[in-house]
Amino acid sequence: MNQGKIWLVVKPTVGLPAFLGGVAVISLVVHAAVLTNTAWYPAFYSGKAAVAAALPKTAAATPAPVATAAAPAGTSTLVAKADTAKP
Amino acid sequence: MEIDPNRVWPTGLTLAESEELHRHVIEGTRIFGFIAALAHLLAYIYTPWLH
Repeated sequence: MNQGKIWLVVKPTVGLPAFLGGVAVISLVVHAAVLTNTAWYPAFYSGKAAVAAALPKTAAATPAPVATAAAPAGTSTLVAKADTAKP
Repeated sequence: MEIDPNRVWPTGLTLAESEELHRHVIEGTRIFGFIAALAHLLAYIYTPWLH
């Protein structure tokens, strides 16, 4: 196979960990860069609570169903009428 | 340049052993690359990444 003679001059005990370690380090660096330079990636790790804050347009377009499915018919939901204004 | 197939090189491997080891390295790289490509495709589809 092409370049198969490399292990005649590079010890596999050195070359293989260096190769695999290099791949791992590059991968971690690139993913860390994406993690620290985007809003949606940290929000993904933070769960649903952070998605609304990170993506306000999307969250505004699709409001979360707050306590409407389980509410009995004829009753109003307290959450919808709650005063959310800050003092 | 012809390489003696029976020579044991400083790494302790012969030509056949070196070629065999390298086949496994290439195979592992291919499998890793395939899984990584699939993962990046899913990330592109289901996240805002690169959109």
